[in-house]
Amino acid sequence: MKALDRITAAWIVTVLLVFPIAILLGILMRLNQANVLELSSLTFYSFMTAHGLLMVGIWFTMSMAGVSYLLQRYVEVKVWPVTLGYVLTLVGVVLLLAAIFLGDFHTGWYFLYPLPFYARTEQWATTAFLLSLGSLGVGWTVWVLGLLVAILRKYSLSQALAWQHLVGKQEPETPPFILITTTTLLGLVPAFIAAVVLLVLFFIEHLSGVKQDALLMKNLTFYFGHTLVNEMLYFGIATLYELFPSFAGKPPYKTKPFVAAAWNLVLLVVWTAYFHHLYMDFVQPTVVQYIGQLASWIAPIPAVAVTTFSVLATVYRSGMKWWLAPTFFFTGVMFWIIGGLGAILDAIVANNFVLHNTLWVPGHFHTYNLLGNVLFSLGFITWFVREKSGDDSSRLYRPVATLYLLGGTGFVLAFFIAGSASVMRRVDKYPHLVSSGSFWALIGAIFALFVLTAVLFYVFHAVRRCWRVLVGSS
Amino acid sequence: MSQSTVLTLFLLGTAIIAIVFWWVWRSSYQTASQSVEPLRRWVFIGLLVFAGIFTGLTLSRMPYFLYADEMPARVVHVVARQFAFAISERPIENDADYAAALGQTVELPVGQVVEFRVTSFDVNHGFALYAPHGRIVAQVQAMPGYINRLRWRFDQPGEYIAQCLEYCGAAHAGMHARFVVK
Repeated sequence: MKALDRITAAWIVTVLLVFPIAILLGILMRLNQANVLELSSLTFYSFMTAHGLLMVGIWFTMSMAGVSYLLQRYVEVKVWPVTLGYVLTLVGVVLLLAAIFLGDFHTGWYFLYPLPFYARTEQWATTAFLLSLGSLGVGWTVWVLGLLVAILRKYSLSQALAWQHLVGKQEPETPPFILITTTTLLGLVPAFIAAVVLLVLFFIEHLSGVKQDALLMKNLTFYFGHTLVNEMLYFGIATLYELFPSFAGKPPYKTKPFVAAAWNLVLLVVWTAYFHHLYMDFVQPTVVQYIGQLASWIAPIPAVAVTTFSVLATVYRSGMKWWLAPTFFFTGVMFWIIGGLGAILDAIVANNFVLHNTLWVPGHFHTYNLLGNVLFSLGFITWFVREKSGDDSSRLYRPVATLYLLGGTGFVLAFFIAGSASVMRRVDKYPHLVSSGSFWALIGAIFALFVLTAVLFYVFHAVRRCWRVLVGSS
Repeated sequence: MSQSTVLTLFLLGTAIIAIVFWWVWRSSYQTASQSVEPLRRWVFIGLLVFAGIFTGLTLSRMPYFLYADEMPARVVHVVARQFAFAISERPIENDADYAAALGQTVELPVGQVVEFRVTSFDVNHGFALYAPHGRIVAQVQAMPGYINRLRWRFDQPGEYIAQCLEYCGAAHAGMHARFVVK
């Protein structure tokens, strides 16, 4: 059994065990908003903080784990950066959960400066939280750099970015998987640097009391946070490019000039799209707000015209044999662009003026995460399970796909409808002002229970098989 | 664009996307191969034109320039602090000003431009204006160390609620203030 198989199985087992717990935290939050439960405010916001950080953490790392595994088809992948990433992620998560559940750290995933210094939190919990982010940051940076080095040992940077294909040359060939993985890894490097600067500035204030600039801190926070989530999706797309054609019995995708152009454009655009998080900060330079809207609208065009079109063209009249993995990828692409539609409507400054920080926002990011990015990773996991155990999860196909997709659709629709009725996000109880919020919270919770049921079935199935890979009995 | 229009556009777009995917999925049960590659160029051009027109039209409606060429009839100072807003027509520069302004109910004129100068004395907050019909009509962030200027003209009289829309701590949900427009 290869070491990369084992560490991939370890990632899968860990992620799949945390996933239902994180979903449960979300359901408890929605039930509290629906007045079915009575959580204290501190408990609610602690759940909110844990839910956000766990979900981003597990699915970012799972998408990285999937890419790391598939990358060995093209280059030699060292196992140690993946393992170090795993160990430091575990350390970070333990510190994080201690800070949240023992120290009442409850600032939300984005710990927006200077809230950590004003929240009713144990002093040590703020330190533990910042150390936890440090551990995650070091682990993920080493992992990202490890993969980049592995690629650049075989391909020059211009080849990895497929610039030769941009000018119409056929050789040397850069597979789309290498191109997308490289642009995604490169996109993450400055985001991690921003996170380091952010953490250092937090520590300076924490230790010396020197105040920081709130606008700078907000820019750093969202540059890092938005880019991380955006790139996580692109790792999922890289996995899709690598696996999806084979499900339809078709040859691998090729890097045509428009594919190369699209992903090089995405690399640039992704760095400026985060500005849409600061539209309602009118002191932000206005030119930046224009760039934010334009970048947010340009970013999805290559995604739709290249990736979505390619997936549809692959499936069209293909005689495809549908099983859980291709179904996850196919529906994941559909919900990815539906979530993207919700996002770009909100990325119009004039719309954001009435939608910012309403439930419209969790509406669109749950659509392209829960029903998009997570499905890409579940598609990879399902494929991995079949590769290692021979089981194609056929017994699970109908119940899991139906419950997950039906539940997910109802769950996100409740967010969108409530958001359009001005129901705000990130509140433990809805004020009378937006009394419909409780109703939509209940609807959301009921549909989320369908998702949880599907996930539990799936986890029971996949974890057992991956555990055998992990302990070497498969 | 109103919230209802955005929702309608979203549901319409979602329906179109879902129908296309459903149609392609149905076609996958056939095996008569047919290349659709020539369509890609038209999809790309269509998206580019649609995005260009749509985003171009909306760029001109930035809230930063609302009523920029008009003199505001009133200037209102707003200071957010965990977990209340102080709203006053006098500048709020320190704790004493804040305490004095807290709980005052400001009356604002209908049909005239008002400028809100919004800041925070502690963490980031939101300042969202909910109209009597229960929907947000305008909002801006309250950031420590900065003053965000929001100009707005209230066309409908009644009681408005300013609600914090940026998570600011455990009592965030209850952070609001009332003012009257008549």
